[in-house]
Amino acid sequence: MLVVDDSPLVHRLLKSRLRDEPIDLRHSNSGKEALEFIYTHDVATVLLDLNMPQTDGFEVLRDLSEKETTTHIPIIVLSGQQDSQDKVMAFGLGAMDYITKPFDLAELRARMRSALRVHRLVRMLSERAQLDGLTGLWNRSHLDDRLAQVVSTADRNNRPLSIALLDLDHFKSINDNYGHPAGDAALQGTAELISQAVRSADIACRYGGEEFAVLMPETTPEQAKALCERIRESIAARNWPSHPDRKITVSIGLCGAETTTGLPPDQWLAHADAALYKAKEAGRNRVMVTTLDKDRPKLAAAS
Amino acid sequence: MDGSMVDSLISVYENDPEMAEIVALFVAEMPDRIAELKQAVDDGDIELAHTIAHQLKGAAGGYGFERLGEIAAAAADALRKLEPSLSKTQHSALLAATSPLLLACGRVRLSTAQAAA
Repeated sequence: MLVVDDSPLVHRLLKSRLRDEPIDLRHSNSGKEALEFIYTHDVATVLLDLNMPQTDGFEVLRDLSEKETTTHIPIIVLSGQQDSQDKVMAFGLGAMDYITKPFDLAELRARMRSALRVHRLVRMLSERAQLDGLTGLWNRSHLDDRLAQVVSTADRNNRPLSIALLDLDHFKSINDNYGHPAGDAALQGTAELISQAVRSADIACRYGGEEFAVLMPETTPEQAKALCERIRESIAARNWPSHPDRKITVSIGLCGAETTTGLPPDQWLAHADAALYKAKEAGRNRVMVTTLDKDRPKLAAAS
Repeated sequence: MDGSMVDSLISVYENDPEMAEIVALFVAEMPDRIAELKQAVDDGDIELAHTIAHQLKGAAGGYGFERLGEIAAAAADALRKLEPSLSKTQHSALLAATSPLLLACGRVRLSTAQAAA
């Protein structure tokens, strides 16, 4: 939780008053400092003084409510007892609650807890909206958001990045021969094996149908290949209760770079898709790798 | 204390274990704050005087000095109405706006029980 107030006395007071609460309390002395902090940290709730010199609380509110990434952060404004017009204006700009100075301790705690509860619920809902219902992996919309992010981070910092597309081999015949529940079980089982193999910084998604994608920041193509081989082997080795005699395999197209490529996100997908196509052509149940660099020609966008 | 406790401003949170330490600090820092405010008045620095009053307005009540907070609020209001460039007449207005606050700050104390403990 972030406290924004221009008075060090208020910071000291709140730190003491809230020391037994299970929160990480941070302070900013000005609106400008607060905005910089919020844009670079994961802030659950902001306690915001309205009346500050230079960037005041209203400007902070306006800025936060205009940006998609911060518009859902609950903000409790601190106001003087007489400033009812300020409160009205603050609510108009997206404040969730207010508390008047001097603080009543019990009231402050209650309002703070309620704001933190709202933050948890909003985060849960927005995560749900980005999860695939069948497999519990991230969905396509989340992948699109994160792909743009990881590509730009890798490019900016000249860091390695790898991206894999995985497609179940002959998936249609599982559905046709054993029924759709068996098909669903195959997708769920595959998702489970992918989840077990990836590391915490990797982003595993159901890309659509029987296709999956894994974003691997800070990972060279060589390291990614080893990880993808482990995934491929674990799927090929798995036994399936609804069809004990029929194994399932996966083809994987991988593209990666050790340094900046300058390629846009859709080109990364296009290269991974082309590699996946090669893996299918070469007989399936294998990993094909394309190493990207600045001189790599552009491909037609993946469909 | 010279038996002048009736004139003192005492925190209602002084005996609150959660607050005792920072209330004591608030009181201990008062002489510095008074000196800073006096200096601002001498220098005709309305902005600094306003900042000090404004910060006390927001915080004093929270430390249990509600009356001090009210006096600081009145001072902050009066200071805000002054022109930033100071003329001779403004200087007396600056004195008038800050003197109740200076007096009140001078009356901030820990209670004798606390001071003796």
